[in-house]
Amino acid sequence: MTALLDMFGPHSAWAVLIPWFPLILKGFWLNILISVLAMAIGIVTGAALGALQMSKVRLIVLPARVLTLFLRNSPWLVIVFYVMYLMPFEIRVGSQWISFPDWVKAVVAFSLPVTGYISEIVRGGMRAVPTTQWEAAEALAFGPARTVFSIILPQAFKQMLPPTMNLYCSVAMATSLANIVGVQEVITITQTILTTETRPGLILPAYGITLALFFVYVFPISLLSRQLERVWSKGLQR
Amino acid sequence: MSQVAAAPQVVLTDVHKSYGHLEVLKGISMAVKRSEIVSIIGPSGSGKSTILRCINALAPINAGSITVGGMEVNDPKLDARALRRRVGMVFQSYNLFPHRTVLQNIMMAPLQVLKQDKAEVEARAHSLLGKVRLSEKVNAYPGELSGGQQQRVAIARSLCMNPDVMMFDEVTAALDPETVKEVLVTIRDVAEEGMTCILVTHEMRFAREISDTVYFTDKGRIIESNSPKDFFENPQDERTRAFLDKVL
Repeated sequence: MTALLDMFGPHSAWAVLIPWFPLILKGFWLNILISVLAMAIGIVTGAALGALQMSKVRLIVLPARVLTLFLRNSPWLVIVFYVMYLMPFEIRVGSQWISFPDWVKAVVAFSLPVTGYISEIVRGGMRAVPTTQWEAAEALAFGPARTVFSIILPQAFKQMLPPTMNLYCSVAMATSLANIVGVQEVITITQTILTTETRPGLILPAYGITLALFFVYVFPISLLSRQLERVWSKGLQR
Repeated sequence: MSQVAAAPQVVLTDVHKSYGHLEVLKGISMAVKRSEIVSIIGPSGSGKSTILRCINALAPINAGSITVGGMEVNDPKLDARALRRRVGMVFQSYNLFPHRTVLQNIMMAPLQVLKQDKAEVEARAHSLLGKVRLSEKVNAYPGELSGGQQQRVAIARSLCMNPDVMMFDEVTAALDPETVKEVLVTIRDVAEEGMTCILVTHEMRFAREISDTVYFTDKGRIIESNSPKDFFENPQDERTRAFLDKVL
């Protein structure tokens, strides 16, 4: 009992950390924002790249394939570094200056690997739909675009959603890498708190909080994705 | 069996088709008149199904000519979608869209491709479902139906496009024996309404009963064609006799 009270006593690690909570949450909010935006951009560009991979024209397929493999197989941290240092901090559009704060650059950086992964997920999902479905649509006078949107993608969707959700979990956790280039996300803020408080005993509890935040956010998504995978693998009949 | 009008609706003239180095059709010629029921029979790999796939341009041909209602299929400027509106095709493996209900399967192409009025299409779909005796399955998904039921839905789906010609590609080959009959009855109903029908089939008795003309193909060529009575009772070619001995 006294041990428990000690943990929450006036000089305990928690007592020191609790006032920082709003700031920690604000940092974590930036992690969520970066991951959601990177994912949204990556889904659009990745779907386009994936569709190009499905083209019948070799001259289109080959560059799309190479780009997909490149984006998928580059270390995320290296991509983050490159984007941070190669992207200008502001650009001029007409007479207007548009600036890119670090967190926006982080969004761009993380959207690149997402593009590569989504491209593969889309290609795999469309491949999984039997070719006889394309044929049946063709025989009913459907054009290629309508075939993809009305017949192929809705069937591929169930195939694609669980891996996309898993990818999102990875992206959410990877946003902590942005601390290395100074984005004010949760890890950067935690480090600032630790240098401000200068108490070695705080390190484990402080990082414990970020760990808990990520876990509470990511775990339900990953659980749901596994659930969907199980339910849909049963329901997918022809 | 049916009244045969004079104008040929589907004409194949010396059609050649190769897949890579393999020539599957080596000069196929045939003419199908309006409302005629034609059966194509022959051993596996003789090119029967390929003939159907060439007629609706699912497989482009290498040489020769195919016309459907006067429209040349072997033409680089062919409007394949206009062609396919005239030619319905039913596949061996049904190929219904599994993510759509029976009614949606039937209505999709008329709504999305032909841009027809929804109420009108729906009325037609219901009447076709009645015709294939599946009215109670309107809202079922394909996965909930038996093979025979799925195939009848596939027939209704094709008919809802109001085609001029219906092609049936071994449509009973994947079915359980007890459901074969219900599909054959449906095809017979379609044929009796005057639809031009081209069937590729292994059901010899059915071919004999329903057809106006039977074609026998072997190794990419038409070996002989005749009225069903003469074809089955008095086959002319040695290969036809050998084949009929085996299957009958």
